[in-house]
Amino acid sequence: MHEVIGHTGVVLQLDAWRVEANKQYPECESFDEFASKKPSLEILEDMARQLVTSHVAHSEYIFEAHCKAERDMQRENVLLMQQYFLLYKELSWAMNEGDIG
Amino acid sequence: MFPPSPVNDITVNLEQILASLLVHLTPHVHHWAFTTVSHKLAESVLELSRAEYGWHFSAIRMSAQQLTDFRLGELAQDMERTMPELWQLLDILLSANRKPGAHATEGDGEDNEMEFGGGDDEGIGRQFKEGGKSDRHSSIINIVCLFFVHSTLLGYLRLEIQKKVVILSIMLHSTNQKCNAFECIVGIFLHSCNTPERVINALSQMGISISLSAIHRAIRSLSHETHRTMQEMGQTLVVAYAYDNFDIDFKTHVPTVENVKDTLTHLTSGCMIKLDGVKQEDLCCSTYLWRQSQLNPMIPAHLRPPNRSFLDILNLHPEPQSHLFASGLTRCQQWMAYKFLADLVKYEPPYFHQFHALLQCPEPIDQIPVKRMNYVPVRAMDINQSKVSGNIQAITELLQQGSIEDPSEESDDSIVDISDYVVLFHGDLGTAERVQTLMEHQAIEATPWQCFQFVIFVMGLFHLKMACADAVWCILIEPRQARDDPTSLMHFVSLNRP
Repeated sequence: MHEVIGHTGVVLQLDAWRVEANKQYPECESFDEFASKKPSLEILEDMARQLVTSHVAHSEYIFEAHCKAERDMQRENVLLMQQYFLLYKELSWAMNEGDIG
Repeated sequence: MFPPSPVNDITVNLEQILASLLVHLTPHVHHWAFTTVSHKLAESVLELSRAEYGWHFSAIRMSAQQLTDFRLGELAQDMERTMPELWQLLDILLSANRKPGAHATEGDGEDNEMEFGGGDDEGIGRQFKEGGKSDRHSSIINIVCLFFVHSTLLGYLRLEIQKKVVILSIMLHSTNQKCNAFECIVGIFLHSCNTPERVINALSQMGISISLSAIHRAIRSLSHETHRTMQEMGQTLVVAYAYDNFDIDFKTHVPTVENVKDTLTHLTSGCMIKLDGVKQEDLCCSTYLWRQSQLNPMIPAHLRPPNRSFLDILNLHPEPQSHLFASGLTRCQQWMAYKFLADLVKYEPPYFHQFHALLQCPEPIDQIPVKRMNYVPVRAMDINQSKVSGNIQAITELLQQGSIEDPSEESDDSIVDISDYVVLFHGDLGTAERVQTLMEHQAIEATPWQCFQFVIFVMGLFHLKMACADAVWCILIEPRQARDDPTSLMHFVSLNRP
């Protein structure tokens, strides 16, 4: 299960990057094309923050999703899955770092 | 004038003279050369077998330190240094079908480059890597794991070096019975693997292991040492105890009507962990905690503190407003953003790798230093800890092994009274529930010891992680409906592992 969470989590994250990169640079279809744009670390950090709010479920998102007349349940599920996996990985990371907060 | 003395020319033309002697008097020259070389090699073996080199172990006085300090790599280096000719000879003899020239360059080069105890991690060596760091109070199993990591019966050194060390160790042991470091380590390894006595006897006759009785003496010596260490550690009170169950299937050879019952035996094992950076007085808070405990029957109901739940934990570290205003993300989300970025840098095109060094780890919230603790495994206990009564027994016996007993019964003044102190216990989540129940049961008893007032249970984080993985499984895989959709986790897994 640990491995499943690890592998699927990474793939979901990279897929989210692909979608986000395509949104910012519509001509980019792949990671190589995205890399050819030579985005700076600042741009990538901005994108990562954007990804966290748009591709990972959080309390506001869930509330908003429930209020919508037409719900995209597949997207909701994937976002929730992403959230669970990242929480699991955060827990693992905190244990290894000794971060008890 | 006389020509230069012919005696002087002998050294110059020595090779020619020997070559011509070899042609004309082969058997004699062979015999002479063989005797000379044999003596020289025998002297080198005798030299290394002396006590000064430190390869003499005494089974009766065997200590854990000796075992942890043993490095096969060092033994190999000593051998190569003290008996270089024999070492080279074995190189040749171990691969007699190889061409001498090729062997010398190839083999020597690789041997010289090899770093003992480091390098590649393949095979079983990798499995033992975690348990392989030096630790004075490791269990026998850990010592053996350590032996593997640093030594290599299975992993790090090349096979040929292992073979040479084994052959030369047999020679050393045969020359001097006291020069038995390698044999001792092998003997204890065999014992820890439950090797049948017949096999040990055979190996000991071959000279690879010490004898069965010597192994038993060594194990007794190690057990005494562990017992002393446990008592010393227990008396400091700065010790946490961890315990868990393990099962052994004792199969009967001849099943009869009387013994058809379950052959699985439930036992309890545990260990004592020395708390680092904690003083004895830090743990002297049992009475204070009991005065505020939900379980204390002496506190009137209306004065009892409110029930705590996981929601209280959420408020332990509130989000600082400054963080929220700076990026609009919570700390958890900031970590997620870091993770997104780290995975992109790690897995995607080489262009992104350049950012690896620039990535900043999220700021820890409340970090405690990660250290390797000293620990001693306790004696396995014939207790089934799947019941509350079993946990009472297990806790009492664990403390007993640390020389801590009921202060009301204890007559010896030298034993520390634990009444005012707390003791940390670790275990899995099931154990946590049973310990909670046992404390509820015992709360009405008269003395702090009988109330188990000193028990502070801290769940093992590994089990917490297992519970989290289990939760993910329950949500995303177990329900049948959760597996139907093409965006379900099960579908992703089937793509990953078709």
